[in-house]
Amino acid sequence: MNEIQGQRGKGRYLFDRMGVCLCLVFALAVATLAIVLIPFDNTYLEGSGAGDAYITPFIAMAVAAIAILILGLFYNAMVWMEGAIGGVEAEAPRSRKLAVSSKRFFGAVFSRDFAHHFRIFLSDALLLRKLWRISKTRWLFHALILFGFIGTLLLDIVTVVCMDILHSQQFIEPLGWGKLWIRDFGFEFFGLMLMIGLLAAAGRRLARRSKQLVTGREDVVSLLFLLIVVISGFVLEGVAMKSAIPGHESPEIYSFVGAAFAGVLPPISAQAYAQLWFVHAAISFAFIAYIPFSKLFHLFAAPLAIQLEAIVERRAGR
Amino acid sequence: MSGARRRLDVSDVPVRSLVEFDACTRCGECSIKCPTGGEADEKEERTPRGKIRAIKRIRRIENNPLRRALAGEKRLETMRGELARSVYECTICGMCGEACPLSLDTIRMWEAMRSSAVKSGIGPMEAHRALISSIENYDNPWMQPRAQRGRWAKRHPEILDATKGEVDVLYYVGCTASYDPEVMRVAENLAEILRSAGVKVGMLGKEEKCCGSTLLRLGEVGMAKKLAEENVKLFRSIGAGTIVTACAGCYKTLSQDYPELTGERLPVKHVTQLVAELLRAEKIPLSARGEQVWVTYHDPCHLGRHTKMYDWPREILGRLPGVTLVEMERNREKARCCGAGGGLKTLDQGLALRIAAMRIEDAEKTGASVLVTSCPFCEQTLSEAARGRSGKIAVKDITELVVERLAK
Repeated sequence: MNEIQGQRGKGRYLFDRMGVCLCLVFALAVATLAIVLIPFDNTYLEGSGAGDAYITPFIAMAVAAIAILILGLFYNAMVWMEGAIGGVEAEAPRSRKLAVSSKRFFGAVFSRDFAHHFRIFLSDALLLRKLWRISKTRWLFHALILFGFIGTLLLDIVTVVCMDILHSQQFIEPLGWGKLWIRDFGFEFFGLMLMIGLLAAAGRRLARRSKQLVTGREDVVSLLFLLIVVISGFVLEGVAMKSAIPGHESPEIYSFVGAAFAGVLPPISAQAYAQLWFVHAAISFAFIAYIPFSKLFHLFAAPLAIQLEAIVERRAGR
Repeated sequence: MSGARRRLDVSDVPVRSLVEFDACTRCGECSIKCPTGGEADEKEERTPRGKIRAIKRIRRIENNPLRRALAGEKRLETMRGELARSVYECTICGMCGEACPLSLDTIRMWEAMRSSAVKSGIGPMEAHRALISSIENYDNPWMQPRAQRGRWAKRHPEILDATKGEVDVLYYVGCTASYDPEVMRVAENLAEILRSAGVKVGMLGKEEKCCGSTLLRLGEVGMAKKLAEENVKLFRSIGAGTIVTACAGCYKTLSQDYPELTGERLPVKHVTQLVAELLRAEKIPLSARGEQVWVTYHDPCHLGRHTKMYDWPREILGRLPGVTLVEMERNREKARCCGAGGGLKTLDQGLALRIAAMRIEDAEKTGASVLVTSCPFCEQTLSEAARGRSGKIAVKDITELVVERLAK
């Protein structure tokens, strides 16, 4: 049986830690700068009367969530680096193992085999070709969740860039195409996909009692967390429509889910909208921070495992 | 070291496998198809999903001082012991990898975890220790003297001593066919087939050593590496152009594991490939008409999911006169394991035979009168299971079927 911190020399141990710390500090600094430097214009809060009060805590939460996400990803990568890498001695510092394996991985992917690896990523990691062959229903549930999640995430990025950085009037004016098709319809569409997928997955776990489905705490928490994020987003949209907050006017046809929620919500003040917006943001950031420590980490690990397998197969000439 | 705290040693587990543990989404496809935890018995902790969960839980506790303090060292030790038992209650058949929507390389994962168990002092299981010490002392897992290894060949003077002269083909017999009287037929059959084809074949006799498959499957990688290096040196000194083996486990080890252990790629063929090639070249004289027989074929895991040799045995069966192959519902990549592999038969014979009985049932459903396979260990286990049932179906090695149809 080995022992913690084995027989490695003190110098080597420090080198190991320093290498890791330097990489980590760099990643955290870049992420923090990127968030802090974005000139958030709080367009979402305009008209709610809440002003700038929520923006500073919002940025603080964003920085904290991204920092925890990066720390978590690093932590998991360091745990992987306890394992063996061909051609690297077992006692090598984990930072060196990480550097060697990253270089090999990216070297193999961004090579003349790039097209092959990209095809594998699309068919096996993103479109889950094998799951399609196993069960079309399960593939559909997973696709709704995955593409709903990716879609809302991408739209978030597009909105921040266009609205907060570029100040595109198309995203701010009530009848601008960006407002109608991205901020209204786009979020509704992908959010609805996500919600249907999550409800179907939860329903399957509740309805089917089979030895294939074993529901643990982690499964329940992950499903509920994501469901709360998406439902709180729809509630927020519904509140904005119900309260007719300036800047959030939206034709019902574009914000069809928000309109449905507005139909069942009581009238609410603009001030409460700002608070709800903050709560939705807080839950979303907490969810981002939770990813590396939950089963949702497979979002990163599964595509990586598929790509590693593809690299090994390619090297073996299969 | 005093005061040092024990933990799972994963330093020999490939980083790729550690990534794969995190990639598992716990969908359960593997759990329902796992022969030990899903089919023969319903024991979640034995299934791949259950094991991955346990590994991750233990490592999380070990890496978190607070959780470690809360769990307590005694509890952690119990968890490690339970995990080790589950890791060895597995045939390493690879069905889980086949079922996995992400196609995780589960064979590598479980073999690596066994190596980790050995390094961590929680493996192998007590029942396996006799096999290991036998290989250490006698160069075979069956506690048989080295001198007896090639005794069966005395009835076959056409088999040359490869250590004394040049041969076309070196027949690597393997431990089971060398010592088990029931399985020795496989070696004799092969000798007869090669003689009829006019192939100059030799063997190593008492110089032959275990290939190390048992050691590798049990996680004793260090010992296996030493054995592999000795064997490669011996094979090189003989200089045979082709090494042939009738054992699926030996074939997997020589063709797949040796290049990783020694860096040397050997010119090894499984008997099914060699015989199929000889049949294709019409070098094996077959009788014009054979007795009509309906057979079904069992893909051994080491020859199937491990090394993807699905077509050679089927080509042989297709070329034998009078033989009609009827496939089982689960064939090729989806074939059910016989239950014997990965040291399971030594650890829990009852469980191994329950799995074998399910395979016999699969075979009986086809209506075939003979269940053919191409692995001595599968044949041994399936025969035992068939005897335990009504005995409606006979179990034969593929070489036996060929010998029955040789032109006299």
